[in-house]
Amino acid sequence: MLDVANLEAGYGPHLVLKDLSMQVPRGEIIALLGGNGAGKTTTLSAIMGLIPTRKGTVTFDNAAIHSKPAHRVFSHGVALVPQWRELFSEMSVYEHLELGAIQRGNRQSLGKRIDDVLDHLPELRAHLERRAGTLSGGQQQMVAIGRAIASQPKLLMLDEPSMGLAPLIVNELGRTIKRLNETGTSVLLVEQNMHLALSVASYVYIIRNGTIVKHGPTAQFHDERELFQSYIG
Amino acid sequence: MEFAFLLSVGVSNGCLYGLVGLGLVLVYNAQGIPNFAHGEFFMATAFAAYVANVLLGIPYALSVLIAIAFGGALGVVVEFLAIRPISTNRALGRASTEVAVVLSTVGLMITIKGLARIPWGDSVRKLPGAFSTDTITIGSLIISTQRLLIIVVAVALTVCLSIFFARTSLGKKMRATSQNTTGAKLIGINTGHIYSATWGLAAICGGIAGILAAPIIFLHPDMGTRMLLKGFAAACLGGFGSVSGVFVGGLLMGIVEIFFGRYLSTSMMDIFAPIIIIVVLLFRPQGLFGTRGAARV
Ligand SMILES: Nc1ncnc2c1ncn2[C@@H]1O[C@H](COP(=O)(O)OP(=O)(O)OP(=O)(O)O)[C@@H](O)[C@H]1O
Ligand SMILES: [Mg+2]
Repeated sequence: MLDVANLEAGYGPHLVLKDLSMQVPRGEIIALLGGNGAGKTTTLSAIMGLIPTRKGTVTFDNAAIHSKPAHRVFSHGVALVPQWRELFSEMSVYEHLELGAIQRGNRQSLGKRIDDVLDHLPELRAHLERRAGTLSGGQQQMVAIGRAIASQPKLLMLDEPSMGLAPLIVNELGRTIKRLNETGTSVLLVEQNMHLALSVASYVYIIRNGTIVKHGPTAQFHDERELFQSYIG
Repeated sequence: MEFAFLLSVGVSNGCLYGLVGLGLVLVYNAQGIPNFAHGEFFMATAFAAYVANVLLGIPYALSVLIAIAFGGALGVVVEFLAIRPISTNRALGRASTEVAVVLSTVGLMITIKGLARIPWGDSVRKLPGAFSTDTITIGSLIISTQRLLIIVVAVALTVCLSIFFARTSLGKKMRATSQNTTGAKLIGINTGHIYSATWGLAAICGGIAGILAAPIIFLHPDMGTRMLLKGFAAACLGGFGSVSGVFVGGLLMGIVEIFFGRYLSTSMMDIFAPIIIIVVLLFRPQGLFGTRGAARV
């Protein structure tokens, strides 16, 4: 469904991604693992259209999306939960879900669709009127995920969603990602938390210095955990 | 009695400052740009109403609508031609982009004013007011109908805009874009369209103020620049925050200024706005009502 081929991208004169290729098949959870500065966020930004691509192609559902701006990529059904969450700090949780829903998605009533989102993220129900800036880190992560899935994306990309969360909440996050996937959303999960990634993903890519250095089914990574931890570290 | 009269003048002036300040706040909150060309929307819209009504003989109400449409379009065009190409230029660093954009608004201010001098020269013209009777008497207070209209329109517009930002989908998208541009793009908002809408709306606020003020202050290519300072002062007092904050900031500015001028010195009236701007920025950059970094439009 998502096909990234020979991608090159960076910031100004600084090239970060070199010849990066990867695929996300429909209905799967794919993990992209790598250490600090490996180029994970840059990869997602380039797919999403937040930064321009210099070479290579990004194809989604047979449409070339690599030269489109983010709001057009979004309308194809790609949603990103960014590393820094990028919430609207003065707006309520409800407004986040509403804004996520109005730009895309099926014709069910807004209320029904927001209700569906809250079924996936029940903790948010108690906080609908609170401003995003007043929430805890874990709650903010839920809002960022809620805002993204309110648009009923075909592909959900998450950038280190476990960052800064307590272990219990990370486990809950893993379950949420699995449940979302079971309802038909494909997932591209970027992580440094190997445990979370291996517990949900079916296939793993490892990125280092802006290119994929290793990839394979998750089982293979379970067996050689230490080796791959060293790639990431 | 004099007190009530001065108060009515101060309040109506303050309403104008609030409207002008509102346009500044909209653009500032959306893109972080202090728009030095904003006063020219005030001037150009007032002249557009003059052309339509006085020169072309179009009925007053229709002239006003035409002028407002012209002002809004001018805002959209200015953003598209003179701001967007600079702010989206990836070759510039972040800091130099900001400086370049601000300089561009200064350049626009001078250019638009200069263009206005070509047909209008330096002479003073008068746009008629909305009503044929100049004053009405309330009790023993004689107040100009135009000033009354200014107050009514400013209050109505402030209320409408507050509702617009709180309730409508475009208003929410504008708030979202101003609070986090990346976040807005990620949920499919075309931020370019939002900036167009923001500049159009800002120019309309300034333009309405221009049409309302023109019967009182006369038409002149420089009329916008003086107003710009007052608008900035209103916005600073209001903390570049909520719609109602700017409105109250404008009111304060208008009222204090008029009593200051009456009882201290009229020559002080023109330096009052810059003094307020400096004092507020020095001692209370979040404005009178704001908490630091909070409450945006
Ligand atoms: N806005 C930027 N401008 C210039 N260089 C950047 C920018 N963002 C990231 N980089 C550089 O690009 C490289 C890849 O960064 P990226 O954020 O993609 O890494 P990452 O894998 O997401 O790391 P982390 O796990 O820390 O989030 C790094 O060398 C970083 O310094
Ligand atoms: Mg990152």
